[in-house]
Amino acid sequence: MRKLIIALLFLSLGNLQAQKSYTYKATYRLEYQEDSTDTNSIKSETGVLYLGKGHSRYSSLGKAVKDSLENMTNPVMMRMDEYNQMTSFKYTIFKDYQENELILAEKVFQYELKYIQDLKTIDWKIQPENKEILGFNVQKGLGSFAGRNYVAWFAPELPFLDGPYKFSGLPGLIVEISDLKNQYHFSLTGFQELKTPIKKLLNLDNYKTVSQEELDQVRDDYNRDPIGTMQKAGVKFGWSEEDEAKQKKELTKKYKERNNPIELQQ
Amino acid sequence: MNNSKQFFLFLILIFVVFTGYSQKEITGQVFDHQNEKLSGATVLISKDSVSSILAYAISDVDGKFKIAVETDRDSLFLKVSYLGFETFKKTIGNEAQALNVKLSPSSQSLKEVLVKSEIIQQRGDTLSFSVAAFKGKNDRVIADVLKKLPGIDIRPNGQIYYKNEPIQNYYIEGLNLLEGRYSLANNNLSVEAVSKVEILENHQPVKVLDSLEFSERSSINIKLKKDVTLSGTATAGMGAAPLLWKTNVTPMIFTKKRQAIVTYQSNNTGNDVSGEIRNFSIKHSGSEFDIDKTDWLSIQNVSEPPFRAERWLDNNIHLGSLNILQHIKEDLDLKLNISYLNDYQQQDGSTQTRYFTPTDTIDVIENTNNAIFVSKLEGQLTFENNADKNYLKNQLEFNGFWNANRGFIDRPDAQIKQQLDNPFFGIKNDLRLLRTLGKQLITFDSNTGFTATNQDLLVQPGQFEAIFNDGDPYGEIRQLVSSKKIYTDNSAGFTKALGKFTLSPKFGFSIQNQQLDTDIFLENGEEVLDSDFKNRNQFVESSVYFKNAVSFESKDETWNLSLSTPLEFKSFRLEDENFEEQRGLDRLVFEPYFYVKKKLSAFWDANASAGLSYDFGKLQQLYYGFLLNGYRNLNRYNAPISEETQQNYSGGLNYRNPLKQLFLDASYSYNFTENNLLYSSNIGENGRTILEAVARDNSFDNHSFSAGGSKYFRKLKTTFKLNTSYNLLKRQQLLNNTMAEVKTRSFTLRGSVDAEISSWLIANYSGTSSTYTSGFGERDFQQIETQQHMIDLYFYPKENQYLSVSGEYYENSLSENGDNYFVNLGYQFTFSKPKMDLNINWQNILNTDAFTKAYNNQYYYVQSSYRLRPSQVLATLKFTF
Repeated sequence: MRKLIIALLFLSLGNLQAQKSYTYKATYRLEYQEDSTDTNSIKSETGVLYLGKGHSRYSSLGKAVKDSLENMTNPVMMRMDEYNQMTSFKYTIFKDYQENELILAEKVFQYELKYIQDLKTIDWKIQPENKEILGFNVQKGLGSFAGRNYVAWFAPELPFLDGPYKFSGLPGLIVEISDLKNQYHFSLTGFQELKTPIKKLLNLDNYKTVSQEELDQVRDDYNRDPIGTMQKAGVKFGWSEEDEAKQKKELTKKYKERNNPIELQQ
Repeated sequence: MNNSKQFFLFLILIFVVFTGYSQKEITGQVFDHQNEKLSGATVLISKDSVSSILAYAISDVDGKFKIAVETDRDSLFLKVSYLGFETFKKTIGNEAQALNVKLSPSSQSLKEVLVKSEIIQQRGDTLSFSVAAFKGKNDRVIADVLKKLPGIDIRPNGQIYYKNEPIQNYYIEGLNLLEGRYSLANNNLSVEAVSKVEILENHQPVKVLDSLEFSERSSINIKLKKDVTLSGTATAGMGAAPLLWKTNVTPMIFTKKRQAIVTYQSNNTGNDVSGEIRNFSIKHSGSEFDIDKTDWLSIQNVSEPPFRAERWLDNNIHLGSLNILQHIKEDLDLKLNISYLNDYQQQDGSTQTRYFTPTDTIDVIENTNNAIFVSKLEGQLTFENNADKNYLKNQLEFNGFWNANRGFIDRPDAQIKQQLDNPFFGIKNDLRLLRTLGKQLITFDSNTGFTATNQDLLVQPGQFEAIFNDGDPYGEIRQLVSSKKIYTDNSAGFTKALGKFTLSPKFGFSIQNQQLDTDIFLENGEEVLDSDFKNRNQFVESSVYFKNAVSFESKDETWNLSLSTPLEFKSFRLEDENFEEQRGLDRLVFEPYFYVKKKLSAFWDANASAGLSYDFGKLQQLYYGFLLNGYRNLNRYNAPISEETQQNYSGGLNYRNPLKQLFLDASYSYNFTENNLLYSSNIGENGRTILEAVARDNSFDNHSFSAGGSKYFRKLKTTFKLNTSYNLLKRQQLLNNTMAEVKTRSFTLRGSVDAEISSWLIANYSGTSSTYTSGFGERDFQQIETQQHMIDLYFYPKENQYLSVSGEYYENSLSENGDNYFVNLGYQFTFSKPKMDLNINWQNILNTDAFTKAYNNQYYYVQSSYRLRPSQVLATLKFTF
């Protein structure tokens, strides 16, 4: 038994991947309109961008907190309701400038999925306009991405080709970015050096590689019918069919209100 | 005018040509101080050191860059930056050129800004659900909300499961008032009084053990809105026909120092409220002994229909329960739970039984009319001291039953009356003590119990004439059974944490002494003196044991292993004064069990288990003298103590693909059992069975396969599910003194369709088809096919009301009138002020009066018909406060 355990321990250690370290952290506030037909359906959330040499990692704050709690030596599981309250965006985006690739990894219910795509998908047009945001000199750039046109403000003095979400490629960190309808608006709220560089365990081995279309579909299936998804995975609910039908109706209503994703087309 | 236009065009042309001509390409390469190529450096061109950027580039893998600049300026300003290096700045001429840039390292930090700090809350193994968020319009009591929470499952009997495991404790404001009888609070506590439901994952209810002994069980804590809460339920219902009533008054009070729940419930609508006080306590130590009621004798029953009791249970039930908890001081609770249940049930039905023996078939037709009286008192007194360093819990429990049954059987050739008095008394005390001693924890458990029963079955006229009255008819036969049991189970152990592992070995011993005295009397109190019809048994089981278990989970959570290794020395002694004979058995048993689960890939996982276990004879299968268990069953076990060895193996594979919305699973299990006893049935006319046990080694093996799948079709908004199972069982059987190998095969196919047709209509269908075949050797003698189909429709015309229609069909290939149809209607309207639900239910609209079903066993098949409740309408008004 003991030998077996040791052997298994080695097996599990073999799965550890190269660790990448991050030395800076940028925090963004995201304001977005959940329902495209209702301009009052504005919600907000915090996003965190960890920056290292040639790579970065972006996620919502809720997701980042959950990851860091689960990566501690004595892992702490995050309360599910808190997690749900903290974030509606449960993906993590890894950008790698050496490989010129972007990985979006997301755990939809219990399914660990990821897709890989090219990094440079935005053809930025630099504008001569300047202004100051949070003490940084920023310059304007225009670009379009996934069906929306964006105005971005970047800070050349922060030598990162990065930004929140999938945005990248400007010669300086994106400090503010918004689509022209102002339905998705990211603005920097903090930029700090990390006193002790964070080494994030980056183990995406268990994540199944799928296409972006497939991942979006799985997420959509889950949002549309979380009860059904859980039931198919073996989670049982003790309610009657009447209760279930009622609950599904309520969730469908909520689902219909979430109709304005950041990416309108691929 | 015309000229000026031309001139303007000319200017534009000039400009385009000029600018096109003036586009300069600046190329270059970026290196670090050690002449290594730097990729990802930003290269910026501006007019001067302060103006905005004109053009930019990012160095590639080789550190190279290329910038096209369009400006008429003479000089340009170049900036090259890279994280961790000093920014390279240089004024260059506006001309095509190739530059090599070398950056020198810099320790200077970038400017920091912080608008506001984010606050992160601390958290533990607690999932806390706001009731407000989950509360639906039709939710009244806390159970309505609880069952919606992810992972929570309330089974039809009321037991709460979380992630497929039963919960351990049900707390209200951190106090465990009801122990295992939590259904009473769950079904009656108003949802309005509750603020949060907390699921305590891996909850260790014993504080001393926290962080020492990992608990896989979860508990539930109900957080109330107010410090002092007065809540409850009141229900009143009337209906016809016959006259129906339904009532439930359950007030409750919760304060910091004291909690109390009182209930009175009564109905004759077929609602079996005994479930409200069903005990779901989980024993921590798994002692083998208990004070559960043992029935030695019974009247002939009719098998119950497979659907909700409200349709067939003819009852008249009254339930009262009192539960009080006093919080004496910090960590010290005293509580008392007392319940009394009284029920009068009537059963009507007919049974046709056909026995197949290798030589003959025997038919028995019985019309049964039973009256069942249940009278039950149970109570529990608990003292619990749950402190940080010490733990003490003492629980005294008693159960008393005064049950009686009357049965009347009408057969073509005879009418038989049965009368059974079935009282039972049990008392037990469980003590658990934990104490920290240095860095270790000492544990001590002691469970002791006593039960007594005097059962009396009277059958008129007398049966088994050939045995008891030289084949002549006679008036009556009476079986008396007196049985007593006393047991004690004590163990001591220690718990020590060793890194990630916790070691908790336990040594213990147990003794159980059972006494069984039986006598048969004939007419006029004449005792049957033949010792073949008497028992004076004393059965002593003793055991010394050492138990341990290990479990492991790999860091990446792909492997899960567990191994338990209990070792036990068991000793059995059976003495029968009557036969002046003694039987005994001593065995050292090792019952290992191993389980492994592996996540193979994103969508696949597999599991396997293997185990060995032993089973030894119980007193219920150890009496020499014949016992008239039922009016046509005369049993004895004239054989040594049975020894059974079981090997179990199982494996399973799961596939879950959310991309295709396809979910599949398959499993196989094999069980091989060896036994030293065979049971011989002698079936005489009218199905009178004489069962005897014979010492003869035999075995049986059982293969089970099951597979299932489901798929969601996005365009149709419809889920299809299909499940199938196959079972093959082979065993030896002695039937009318002939040895036969009985083979049974069963095959079941289940399917369902759930469709959301529109926002106001949901439709569900489910169906089951099964085939059951049995035979001796190579010969199949019986095949039964059954079908079951159900369809449900839900309409939502308005927010505060709904209408449901359901239809059911049951079919059985064996019986001529095996087709059963049912239609039910339901309607609910919710009043907002005062908050109240009016529910009208019309059950069994077609007025189907009986449910017919058939099933078979290894050597007989039974077709039974059960009288149902007639078509009835019940209106219920329910409010919670």
